[in-house]
Amino acid sequence: MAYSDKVLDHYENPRNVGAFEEGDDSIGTGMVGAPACGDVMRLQIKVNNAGVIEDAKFKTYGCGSAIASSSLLTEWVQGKTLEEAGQIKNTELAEELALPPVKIHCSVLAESAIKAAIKDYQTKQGTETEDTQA
Amino acid sequence: MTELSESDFHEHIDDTLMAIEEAIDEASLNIDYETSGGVLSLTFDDDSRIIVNRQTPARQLWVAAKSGGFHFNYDIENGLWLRDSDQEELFHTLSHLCSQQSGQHVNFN
Repeated sequence: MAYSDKVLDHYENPRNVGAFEEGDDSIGTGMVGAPACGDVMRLQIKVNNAGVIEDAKFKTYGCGSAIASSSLLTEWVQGKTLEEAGQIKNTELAEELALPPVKIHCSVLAESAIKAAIKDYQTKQGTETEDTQA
Repeated sequence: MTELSESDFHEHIDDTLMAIEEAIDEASLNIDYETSGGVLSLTFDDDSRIIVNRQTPARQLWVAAKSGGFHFNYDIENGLWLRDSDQEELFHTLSHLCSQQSGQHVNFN
């Protein structure tokens, strides 16, 4: 089964690869998958005071579809509020990339990654207000 | 919690794939199925597919359908596959997904 042109484009020219510096409270990190399962995805979002995602970066160890799903996701979440970003569905990613049926699971991983990153950001914000004397 | 051994896991998966094929036969549905290399593919009239495979390291059963990807864990006590996100039973989910893709009412329960 051949990859679509869109998958190949993201695979060959992945957008927003990398990581933000640790210890910044405006960053949320989502890490999903497991090395034993073949795919690991690390997605980070940088959120401004208005709750809008200003920037996003990813690192993915996995197949072309997993890389393309996370690359596309970093493009889509920029400029979105946390709520909007949390509503992105795996089927929307799969449809945009024209993923073969079984590769839907790669887009599921990407959806889990953004949800985990949002949760991490919200947890950080929550802890910050409770625990000011770190 | 008891961990599922790899051999038990494969046995449960193989039994489940067979049970899905039997359920399709019993319900006299117009769905083509084929198990190859331990992966079950269902093909519908509109050429859309549902693929059921195994994710061995995670001990999960995975379903790829038009409406998304679904992951199931084995409930040893009750002998059922339950979806990780909402604990829905596998055949319940499959009935729903097959109804969506075949355009006819499917009930495997």
